Amino acid sequence: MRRSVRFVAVAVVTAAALLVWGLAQPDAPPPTAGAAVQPAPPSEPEVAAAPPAVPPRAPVAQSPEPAGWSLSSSDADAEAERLRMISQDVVLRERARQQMLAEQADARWHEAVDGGEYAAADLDPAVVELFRNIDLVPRYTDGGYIDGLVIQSIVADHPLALSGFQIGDRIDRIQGTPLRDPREIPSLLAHLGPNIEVCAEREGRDLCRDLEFE
Amino acid sequence: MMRRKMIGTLLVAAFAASPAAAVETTTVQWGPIVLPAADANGPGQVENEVAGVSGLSAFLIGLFQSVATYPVPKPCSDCYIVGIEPNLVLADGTTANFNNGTMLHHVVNVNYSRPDITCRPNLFSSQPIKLLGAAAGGNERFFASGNERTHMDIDEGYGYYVGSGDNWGLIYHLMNMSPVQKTVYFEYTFHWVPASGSGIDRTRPIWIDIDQCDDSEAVVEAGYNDLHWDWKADRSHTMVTIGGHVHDYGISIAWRNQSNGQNSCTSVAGYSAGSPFVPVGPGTGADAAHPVGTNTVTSDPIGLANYAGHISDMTTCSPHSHTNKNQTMRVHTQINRPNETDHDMGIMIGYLDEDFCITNFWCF
Repeated sequence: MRRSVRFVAVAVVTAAALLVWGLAQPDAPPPTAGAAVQPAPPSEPEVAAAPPAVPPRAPVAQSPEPAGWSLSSSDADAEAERLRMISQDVVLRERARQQMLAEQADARWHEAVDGGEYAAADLDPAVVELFRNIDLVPRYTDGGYIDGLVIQSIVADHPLALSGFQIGDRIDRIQGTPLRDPREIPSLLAHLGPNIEVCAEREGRDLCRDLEFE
Repeated sequence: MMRRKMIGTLLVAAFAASPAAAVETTTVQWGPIVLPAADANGPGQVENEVAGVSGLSAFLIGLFQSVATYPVPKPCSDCYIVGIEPNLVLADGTTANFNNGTMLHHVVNVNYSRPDITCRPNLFSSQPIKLLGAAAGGNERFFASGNERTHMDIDEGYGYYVGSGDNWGLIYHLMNMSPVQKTVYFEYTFHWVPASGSGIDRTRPIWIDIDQCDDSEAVVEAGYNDLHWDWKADRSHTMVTIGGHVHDYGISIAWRNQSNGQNSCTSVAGYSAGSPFVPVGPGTGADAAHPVGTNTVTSDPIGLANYAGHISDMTTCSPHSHTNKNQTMRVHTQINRPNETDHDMGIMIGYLDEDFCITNFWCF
């Protein structure tokens, strides 16, 4: 048992290191599965990790396509694998960037609330209701700022759902105030009453609703 | 592009009570999982395998964990789960337990669509659950079971929300002590209600662990142990329902507010009469978080004899205890063992009713 735990720990550290390495190498493909777990057989990962092959020019008589535009089956597979690796690298880089932006935005939120000056009991009940039973995810921008909150999931009878908002909508203003600085959002919410205007962006359109809570 | 503004007004009767919705029951199976036969080296095992991931996530997780290919469907969508009954069965549908050489060492139910609040996804972490979350897009651990297979009933008026876009998965460790290969399935019975019109409030699961964010396996000395992990609450909340998990020789696991001394829940282990796996000595009895003894179990839904004396029960609580942001919560795990081990566990899963959060992590 102890040995397997150690193995997992080593594998995890190795994988993490390889991920970091992959992110730091602009032109390098991400690490292969074989690299982290065990020595890879010579054929598969090396094909995946090889630099892009220069496609051979096919004989004109054997191809109806213009010369230079045709790939053999193996070349096409290699090219597809190379593109897959590049796309994975792009996804990983974006996840790393989003993680960094999230940490910056979190820091700004905590600057506002960690002093303890905000409490749910001080909010208008309508505000509490507005944020209950809904998943909102910030759209992060540089420097700890955001560009609204995207609805990730929402219960069908939530006030926002009943007024026409749906999953994917980006709530970008409340009571006319843009949701940009996490440090200012608590103060905005603390000053809201039972009538709340919420605006969101959906595919380039503005959708605004005045919610009047009884 | 000119943005067109649509304005509408909605009057929301937000605080009207909704009639209680009828609870529906759905049983799902996840698998198959092939367990190798035991041999001279020990039990056949499938250890810390991950299910429910695909594409890039499966590739990344496959760098450090075994990845299964079968799907992990949800019992319902846009619904609240209000009760969970876990089990492990053989291919013919009979329960897989010690009586036929099988052990559900542990299974963790994960929602890849939301982050875990105590082990947030982190692409650069060396801790498996954080790395898994970063690779999968989320890692919210919303339920888990050991071989005792405790049923969890979230208290009335509350539930765990399942969105239509949520992706579920599993992390598990299964053992086969018999000399023949076995094919097993997880079989869960869920009690749930449709979200719309239910009047139910969603709770957020919290994972509490003496080996928090690592592999949950702790080194425990022979004799009496009281093991802890502290959490500085990052949100004010009410603990609605909570339960625990310990291994053989475990006495209890408790969740206590260290800032005000209030005990939220003590989950006590249960064994059959005459079990050789009961703790070798008592708990301290110092307070509610440290009871002296365990419970003697006289029956079990899947057959008490099937456990062959191993731990078969953990109690759960619905304390509705309130914790303020920045208060310190501490888990207390009492274990009294005959020998040292490096893979003991002390885990609790609770369901929080948060006072006010606008995102997964931005809370008052």
